Amino acid sequence: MATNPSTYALSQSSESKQRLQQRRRLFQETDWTRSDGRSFHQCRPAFLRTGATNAASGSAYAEFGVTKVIVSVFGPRESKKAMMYSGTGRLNCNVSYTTFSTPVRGQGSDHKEYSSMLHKALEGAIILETFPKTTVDVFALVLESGGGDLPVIITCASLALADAGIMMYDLVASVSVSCFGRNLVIDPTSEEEACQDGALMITCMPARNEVTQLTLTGEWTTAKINEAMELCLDACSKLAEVVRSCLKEAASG
Amino acid sequence: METRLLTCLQALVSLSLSPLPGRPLTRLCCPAPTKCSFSSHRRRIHSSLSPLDPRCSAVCRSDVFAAASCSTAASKRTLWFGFLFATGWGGDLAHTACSSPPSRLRISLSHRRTLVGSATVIGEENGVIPQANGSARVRLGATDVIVSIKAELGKPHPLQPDKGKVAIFIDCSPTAAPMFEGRGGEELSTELSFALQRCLLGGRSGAGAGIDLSSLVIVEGKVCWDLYIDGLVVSSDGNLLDALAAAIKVALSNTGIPKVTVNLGASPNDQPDVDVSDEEFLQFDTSGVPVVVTLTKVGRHYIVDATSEEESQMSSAVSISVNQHGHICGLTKRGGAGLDPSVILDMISVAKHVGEQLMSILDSEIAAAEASAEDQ
Repeated sequence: MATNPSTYALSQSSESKQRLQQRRRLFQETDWTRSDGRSFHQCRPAFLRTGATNAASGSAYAEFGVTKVIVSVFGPRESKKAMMYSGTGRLNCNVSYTTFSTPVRGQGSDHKEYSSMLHKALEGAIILETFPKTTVDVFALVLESGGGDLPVIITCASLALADAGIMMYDLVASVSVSCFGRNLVIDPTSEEEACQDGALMITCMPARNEVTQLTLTGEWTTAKINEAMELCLDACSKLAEVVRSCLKEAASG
Repeated sequence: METRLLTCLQALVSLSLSPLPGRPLTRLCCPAPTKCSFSSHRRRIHSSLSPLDPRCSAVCRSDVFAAASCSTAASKRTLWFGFLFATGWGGDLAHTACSSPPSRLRISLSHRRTLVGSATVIGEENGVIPQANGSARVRLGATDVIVSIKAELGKPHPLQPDKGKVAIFIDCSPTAAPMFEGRGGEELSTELSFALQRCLLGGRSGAGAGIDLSSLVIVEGKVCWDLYIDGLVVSSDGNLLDALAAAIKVALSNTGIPKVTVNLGASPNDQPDVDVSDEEFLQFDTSGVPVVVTLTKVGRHYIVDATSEEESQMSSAVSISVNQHGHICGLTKRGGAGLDPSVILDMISVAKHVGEQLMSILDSEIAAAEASAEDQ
């Protein structure tokens, strides 16, 4: 009997469903190995470079595992005429995905939620008073989505802002953890994110010990939040060091 | 402690007798106690929760009244002492401060079959719509929100065939405030929608979700209920997120999902035949729906249920959703200013406490509103 296309599609989806359930079961166990061989509290190796694009006042490229992001910063430039007068500078953030960034071909459109989250994460760190009446544009493009996209975007954006010479109180670093049953897994991949029970993302300025953005989903006890926050803050300060050394390298080289 | 309280009171008396009306909110307090306050239109109750050691604090607003509260955590119970001083014309002598939270919370339930979008006619039967839906209107002081819930038959997402779908949309109408016109309203609307999704719908695997998505499935992989939760901000006076979350909880308790009978087709690939009953409805269990508590940081303190006047002075705000077990189900932060991690943890513990009280008030209000709806 010839296989008709509808049955073919159906069997494939049931297969992927089975795989998903298998993975879900695996993640519920207390001890399992991560697909990339990391331990639960180990972040992916971070690769950061400034100067990804020429036309921008500052730009950066970040690669955390398979997650690849480019962020360009333009400005400060004159605010649009329609904008009301503002004594402080404005920050305009935009996050978009390429059509080929996800396993299923996406629309490649703007990501509204991430755009507003990026804005909220950065605005507390930038000294907006230093560029009144003007706007700084931060455009992030996710080339490849491999989990933990937003933390990577935020970290990369802060590097691009520093590269553009925008005054900031401190570099912003961001890290997320996923919760699986009783385990906390730092810097999850998209495979892990799809099955997580809960997630916590922290964006902070390590030198000032200030949290600029914090989101949490899923059910958490206070003790667990405590543990996750500590884990994230520690990772954030280490990540900020990596960002700082990248900036130093760019300045000296 | 008594002497401390006395000093506080003396300071309060001197302040509250100050003749200047409309002076800004002044707080006198011993080292940084945890603060939360509930305000009403002309009534303001501030309470102090101190998780660590006995402290006392005083809060004063000279044009309305002053209240002092003192608490002890030695016995793990909060004691409330309320003192009120009538200083302005609106001062209310008879009230003593109480430990009950949102005194400005008023809930009204619309009848189950109220026409979607016209829930302003509350309690009135408005023609019969074939689809089941629920709606609720919550007023927090001058903040007024309406939430309508519509259930439609749909197809489950191919990656999650065993789950129904819930979508939350919030609309900030320019009738509420001129700044909601155009992009301003749009930005706020999306922010509120995302925050509510994060706070009420739980994690990817469904942990901590207020609505059990698997209960919305009719035939796995084929037919499910799509729940559309639409919120409308009619009038805005701060604390929109908490009001909307409360309205969603009330609206869900008011929602009836029609009973369906399924006739599976002969071959497994056929779309099953679904017969929707317009007489029998299934009620939602809303005990698991969390409440959202927003703590707004103004100066060195943080307050709950901030009015728009108070929100205009905020540096940042943290919204925390708490479920009936006292677990945190979601958290978002607004406002640019950074917060110390220890402050956030402190806020979480305060939100848990306030959330429990808010939850019990909401539950009793829902029960009362349902009882009165049945009487009619």
